[in-house]
Formats: sequence, C-alpha cells, structure tokens
Amino acid sequence: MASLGSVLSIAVQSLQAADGGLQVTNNNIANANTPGYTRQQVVLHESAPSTTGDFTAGDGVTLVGYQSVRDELIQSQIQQETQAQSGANAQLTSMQQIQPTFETSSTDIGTEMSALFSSISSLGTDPTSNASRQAVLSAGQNLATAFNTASNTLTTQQSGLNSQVTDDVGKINQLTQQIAALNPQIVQQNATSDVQNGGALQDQQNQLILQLSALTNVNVTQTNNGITVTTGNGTALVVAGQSFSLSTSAGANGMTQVLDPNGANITSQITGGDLGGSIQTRDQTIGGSTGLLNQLDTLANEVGTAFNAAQAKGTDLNGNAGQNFFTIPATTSGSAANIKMAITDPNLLAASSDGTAGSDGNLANFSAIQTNTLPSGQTPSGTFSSIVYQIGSVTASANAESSATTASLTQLTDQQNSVSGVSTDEESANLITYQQAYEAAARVVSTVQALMTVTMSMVTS
Amino acid sequence: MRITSMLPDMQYAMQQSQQALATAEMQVATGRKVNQLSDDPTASASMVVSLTDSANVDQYTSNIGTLVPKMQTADSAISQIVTELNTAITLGTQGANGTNAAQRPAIASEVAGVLATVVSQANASYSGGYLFAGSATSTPPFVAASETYTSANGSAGSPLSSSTALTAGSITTIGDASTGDTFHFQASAGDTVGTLQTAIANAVAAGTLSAGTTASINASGQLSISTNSNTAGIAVTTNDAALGSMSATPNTQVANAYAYVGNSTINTAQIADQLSVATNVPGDSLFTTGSNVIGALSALITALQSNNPSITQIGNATNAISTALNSVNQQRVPLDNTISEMNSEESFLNQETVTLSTQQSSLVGADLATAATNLTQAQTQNQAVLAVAAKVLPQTLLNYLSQPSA
Amino acid sequence: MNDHALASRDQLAAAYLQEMQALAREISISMDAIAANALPKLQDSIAKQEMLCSSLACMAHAVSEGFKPSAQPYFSGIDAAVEKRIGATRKTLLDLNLKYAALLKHSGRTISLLSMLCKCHTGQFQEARGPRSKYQTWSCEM
Repeated sequence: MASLGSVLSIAVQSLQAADGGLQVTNNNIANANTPGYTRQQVVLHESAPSTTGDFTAGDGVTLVGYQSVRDELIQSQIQQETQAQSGANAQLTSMQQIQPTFETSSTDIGTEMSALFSSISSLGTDPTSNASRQAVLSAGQNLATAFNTASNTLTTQQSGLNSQVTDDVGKINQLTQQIAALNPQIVQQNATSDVQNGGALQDQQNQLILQLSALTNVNVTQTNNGITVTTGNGTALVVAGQSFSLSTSAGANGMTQVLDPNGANITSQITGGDLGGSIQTRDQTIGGSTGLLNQLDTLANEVGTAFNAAQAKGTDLNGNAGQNFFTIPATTSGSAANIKMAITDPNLLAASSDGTAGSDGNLANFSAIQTNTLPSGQTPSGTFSSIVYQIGSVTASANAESSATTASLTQLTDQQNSVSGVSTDEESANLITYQQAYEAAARVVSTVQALMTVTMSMVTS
Repeated sequence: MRITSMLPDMQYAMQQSQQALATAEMQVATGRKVNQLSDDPTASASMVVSLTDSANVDQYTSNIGTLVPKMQTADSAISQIVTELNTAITLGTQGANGTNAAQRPAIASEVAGVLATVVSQANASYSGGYLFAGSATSTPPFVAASETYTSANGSAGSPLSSSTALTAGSITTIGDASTGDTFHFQASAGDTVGTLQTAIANAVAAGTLSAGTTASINASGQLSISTNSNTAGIAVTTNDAALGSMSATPNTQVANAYAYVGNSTINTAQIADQLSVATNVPGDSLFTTGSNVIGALSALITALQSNNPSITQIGNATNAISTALNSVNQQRVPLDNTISEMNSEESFLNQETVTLSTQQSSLVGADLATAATNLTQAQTQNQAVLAVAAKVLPQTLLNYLSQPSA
Repeated sequence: MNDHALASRDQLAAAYLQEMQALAREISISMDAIAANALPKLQDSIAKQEMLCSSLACMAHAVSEGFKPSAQPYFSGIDAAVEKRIGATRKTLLDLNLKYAALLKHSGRTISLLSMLCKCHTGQFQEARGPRSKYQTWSCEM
C-alpha cells in the first residue's frame, strides 16, 4: 500500500497535470485573438504505474511540455500573399493620388488644350479684336499651368516614394536584427524541451517574418540553426544569430538606391512588398524612359515647340515676325514643370500672314497643331488620351491585385486558424461542460465517501 | 473546416457590400458610371478625344453664329449696290437718249447720288470693322480722291528726305481712282523714303498708278504724293510713324472720284474639321479691280456733265456700268454660297453635338434607370449582410454563459 | 441491480467487490480524462461511476434492510480472501476519491474563474483600419 506521502505526491502530480491542462485552456482563450497565436496542446505522458498491493493503479500523469500546431505551408503562402498585397497597395496609394489631376475637369490638360485651340479659332472670325487676342494668351497660360500642376503631382508622388524607400530599408534592417536575435533562443528551446516547434518565440519570429514579407521579397528557409533569410537573388540577410544590413545610396536624379550587404546595387531586383512596389512605381510607372513623367514632358515640349514654330511663321500687330509663344527648356526633361508663356502682350500674337493688322492667315498654322501628329507620333489630344489610359489602367491593375490578395489572405488566415487557431466557442463550450461534469463528479465523490463508510461496517477490517 | 471566428469573413463580406453600395450611390448622384480613370481606362481615354471633338464642334457652331450675320450684312450691302447700279444703267440709258439732252445735268446729279450711295454701302461696317476693306478693317476702304496728299511729318526746319528711314513693317497704300488699282508698300528694315519713291515710280510704269503720279519732298519738307490729272485722283494711307499720317491737300479733292485704300486680303475661319471658309470679299475685287464700278459711275457722271457730251461717251460709260454690274454679281456668288454652306453646316453640327453627347454618355454616363435599380439592389444586399453579421457575431456561446448552470 | 434476493452472502460479497473495483477504475479514468482535456471521456466515465454508485448503494441498502446492529458484521463468515480484498479495495477507493476530490476542487475553481471571465465579454471588437491589417483585438473586464 502506498504511503500517505506517496498518495499525496500522486495527487500533487495529477493536480499539476490538470493545472497544466487547464492553464493551456486558459492561455488559449486569452490569446484567441492575438495575431499569430498558435494553439498549444498539452503533451502528457502517463507516469509509470505503481502496484499497490495486488491492485494496480495508474500513477497519475506528468506534464512534459507544450507543443504548437502549425502548418508550415500555409504560413509561407501567407507570407507570399502579404508581399503581393503590400506591393500592390504601395502602387495603388500613389496612383490614386495621381489620378484626379488627369481626370476630366475644367482645368485638366485635355480641356485646356481644347480651350486654347478654340480661342484661336474664335480669333479667326475677328482678327483685330484685342479681347480675342487676350483670350488666346490667357488660354495659353491656363495650359501651361495645367502642365505645371500635372508635373508637380507626379514629382511629389515620386519624392514621397523616394522617402519611403529609405524608411523601408530602415525597417527591414530592424526586423532582420530581431529575427536573428530570436534564432539561437528558439534553437535552444527546441533542444531542451522534448518538442520541436518552440511555442511563443516561434510565433513571435513568424510575425516578424510576416512583417518583413510585407516590406520586400525574401526567401525563408529552416535550418538547424534557425531561420535563414535571403534576398531575392540569394544574398544572406539573416543566418543563425547574425543579421546583415541593407544600405541606401543617393542615385542619379536623387532617386535613392538600395544596396545589399556586399554593397551591390539591388534596386531593380526588389520586386515584392512595400519596398518593391514603391521602387517600381517610382522608377518605372512615374520615372524612367517610358514613365508618365517623361510622356508628360514630351507632350509639353512638343506642343510648346509647335506653337513657337507657328508664331515664327507669322507677323504680329507690330509688324514683326512672331516671337516664342511658350518658354520651354532646351531638354525634354522638366518641360512640363517649367513651361510658361513667353508673351503677355496681345499685340505679339502673330496672327497675320501678310503683315497687315487684320489678316488671320497665320492662324491656320496654329490650328494645324491640333490635327497634325507631333514628332512622338500622335496628335496632342491623342497623346494625352494615351497618358490617361495608362494611368487608369495601372491604377485598375493595382486595385485588382490589392483586392485579390486581400481575399486570398482572408482565406489563408481562415485555414491557418482552423489548423492552429483557437475556437473561442469551442473553448467556452468546453468550460460549461466541464463545469457540469465536475458538479456531477463532485456528487459521485460524496457518494463514494458515504459508500465507503458503509462498506467499512460490512467487513471486519 | 472549423471556423475560429466568423470575423475575418464577415468583415470582408461587409466591406465588399458597403463598397458596392457606395459605388451605386455615387452613380445615381453623379449620373456617371465612370468616376475615376481606373473605373474604365478605355472609356476614360476615349472621353478625352470625344471631349476634344465636342469642344471643336462647339467652336465651329460659335464661329458660324458670328460669321453668318456679318456675311449677311455684307450680302445685303451688295444687294443694295446692285439695285443702285441698275438705277444708274437706266439713268445712263436715259442720258444717252438724244431727246433728253436738257435733262442731262439733272441726270448727272442723280447718278452722283447713286455713286454716293454705292460708296456708302461699299464702306459698310459690321461690329466695328469695315466689311469690304480686305484686312485693313479699321479705316473706310473707299475714300474721296484728291490730287495731292501730304505727310504730317516734315517741316522746313527738319524736312524729310529720300534718305529718311522708314519704319520696318509699316504699310503705305495709294488708291488710284482712275486705274481703279491700289498700290501697297510694306517697308522692310533699311528702307528709306527713297525706296518708297522708287516703288511708286515702278508702279506707275506698271500701270497700277496713273501716269504722272509722283512722290517728292515738297517745299515744306513733307512727303507729297500727287497725280497730275484732275479727272481722277488718289487716296493715300500709311501707318508709318516716320511719315506720320497722310492727308489730302485742301482744295485738291476731285469731284465724284473715289479710290480704294483697303487691301486684297481674304481671311478664313474654320467651320468644320477640314473646312475653312472665306469670311470677307475685299472691296477691290468687288468694286474696282477688273470691274471698276466706282470708276464707271464716275465716268458716266463726267460724260453727262460735259459741255459737249457725246452719245457714244455716255453709252460707253453706261455699258461699263453694265459690265461692272455683271462682275459684282459674279463676285457675290461665292459669298452667297458660303452663307448657305454655313447654314447647312450648322444643322450638321447640331447633329454632331447630339451624337457626341450620346457617345460620351455611353462611355461614362450611368443609365439612370439601371443605376437606380443597382442602388436598390446594393442597399438590399448590404442590409442582408448587416443582418447576418448582427446574428452571427454576437451569437457566440459566450452569450449563453449568462445562463445559470443546472 | 434490482434483484437482491441472494441465496448466498458470498455471491453478494463477490458482486460488491467487482463493482467497487470497477468504480476505482472509472475514477482513475476520470482523472486521466481531466488531464487530457478529454471531455467526452470524462462524461462517459462519470456516467458509469453514477451507475456503479447506484448499484453499490442498492446492494448496501438491501443488506442493511434486515440488518440489526450487532456485534457481527453482515459479511462476516464469507470467504476470507474476498473479505480481505473488499477491505483493500475500499482503502484504494478512498485514496482515489481523495485525489479525485482535490483535483475536482482545484479545477472547478479555475473553471469558475474562466467562465466568469467569458461571461463579462460582450463582443467588442476593434479592428485596425486600412487594407493591410486584418488583426482584431478584444478586451474584457473582470
């Protein structure tokens, strides 16, 4: 017969075990909505049974440790979708701020170009009218202003994205440091406990990796020394307990470049996450040889040049050959930002083709600008229409991508929760039932107590 | 699959349905189904071009609205002139009739009246500009001829000379009542009074100006342009500041003689994408060059007034008026054609406006009936989603814990 | 067991012993079930315990029906081995019952706390705005 002491120790052991179990339940419920909390199950081993007399009883249970349930595949899918979502959102945010400037309004470039040509046509019906001449110059100014505004919108966005690049690189470096710091701790925990998949620390690291995925495209591999994180082209950012930082440098035109830990310029290779989206929008959608800024500058420069050429073919009211209509820079770059009127005196508008004040013969050269193709291949309104299309199309794509990745993440998170998450309902239901069971069990305990008293009097002890 | 919490799904569904509701509301409120470029990039791009077309159509319509009344005014002036010329022909025929010899002075007066009316109509203006002056619309194109014109500038103390520089780009015009032609001179940089004098001499040689027309510096140091005939005369205008204005020397006006000081410029305006129309008929093509209406009338008056009128002379002058009248009628035709062209164009443009409006509506506009239906549907759906959410979210077993255990 | 018309006290004693051992087993099983959070197993086991208790109580009642307090216990004179085992099993049962009671007491307290915790919760959720965060947080007052 076990001694009272051993009976008590069994009791204590069981209590500990039960306590562990209930603590797990407790933990699970409180953490139900903590991001990344994965459900822990108590891993129990039965203690070796002991023989009491000729009656063998279970010797209670011993608490061994906690084990997390996790689905590695879903985790990495979530990382990827997060990357895509952040990239799309970076682009979407910028484009949504660019769009309004190019929408039809009373002051967009398309409307102002039309107004300028209308004012020229109107002058043709009354070439000597000073008011009509002034109207042409005012319309020219409005067009220049529209170009300036549009250019400013694009460069402001570009500048914001540029700052974002620096910010993101800073955040990335912070995260890789934190991830690396966790690696040895997780490895140690796994080594001392009997279980793989160390619990809360691994959750923490997963969260950091998720945040990192939101910023840029990285590859994550499991090794014996913890998580290894590399850039898209294989350069290490985290190996075991060590992290390696990205850095930035000023590039041409002030566009911040991103360098890997070896100093190589990896700016164009960053494709995912907020950093990737920001770089892509900055360097290819807005900037670059096919970007919006270049197209806008080209349009401004070609229209300006055409108007100046038309002026030169005619005579103004002072009898002189026409001066420049617009002032534009010599290079295409900066044309939209800097285009402005070169003349403010209505008399300087060169409408005349034969030197007489009342002639409107040169106006046909101005009107022709609207219908002729510019050197870049389309009419002015055709060119602007293409720019509008491009903006709408890129924004729509980013929007669709953002929606799709959001939907996808919702599904993946649901799946992840069903594998490793905690059902509040289930846990609560368990609580009620436990309560009820315990009450029944407590009645049994009293009954057994009484029964044993009765039994005692039935036999000679 | 165990649902850990309905929350991510419910929230996603709620977001989607609220977004659909907001879109439907916006479409009904704005009447547009494309409110941002990204809603429909193709439609947005097409809109840019369509709106450019609309703006052009609007401008053409406006141009026509400005031009038609002006050209109708010109046409009615010409119509009056035609009437007067017919009268003049009748008068001339009367005058050529030998039996009316005594009445010739009276007839001559009447013809003079006709000439005055014709000149007055030829100097018709519209909205502050002279209709038949070519592009020199700020001064009357038909001016009473005088023998001599002198410049405002130049004095005994500081006379002009042949080496006086002229203002580059300035224009000097000499109308000749006799030839019916007009001499135009535009100064280039470096030109002097001497250059002008040479040009005038060349014009005389070419027959543009009457023989004997000269330009010289008079005793007062002014530039003096004169003709030696007293049955015709000249009219001179200039905008050269070096000369100052040119004015007729007093007492040198020639009776019943007028010269044209406008120019031959024809201005055009656009009334359709590929269609420009002439907006004026210059006075010289109508009344002087080729068919010298004014010259013919002057000649008739002269013939009627002469002491020894010859029937032939009167007859010839009357025939000249007939010829001139034919010419005017011919010159009038393009003007009439343009007016009717503009009228038809106007109705075409009105159609175009409707077509473009419809096109733009179909690109970005919301069909209101559809938009309203969509809105109702979106509202219903949104309410349904909210109702489900209201049921699902709080109805977790947590609520049931308030029940006391048995 | 309804029929206690027993011809032999030995038979009754043997039956009583069997049910006591079964009860002991079930209590062990219950404790395992609690430790493993295996609610159905626990419920099942408790049901069996209740049945066994009823049965034992019936038998004890039947025995005491005609029993007059005397110097000699009812089961005296039965097979000595059986008597000894009844005694031992009784002690085991008491021990187990003691542990079981302690376990239930501790767990019961925890359950009550937890259900109080959840009872207060009324479903207030805060979600971070924007397309990036879909995490929810909730709080509860005790």
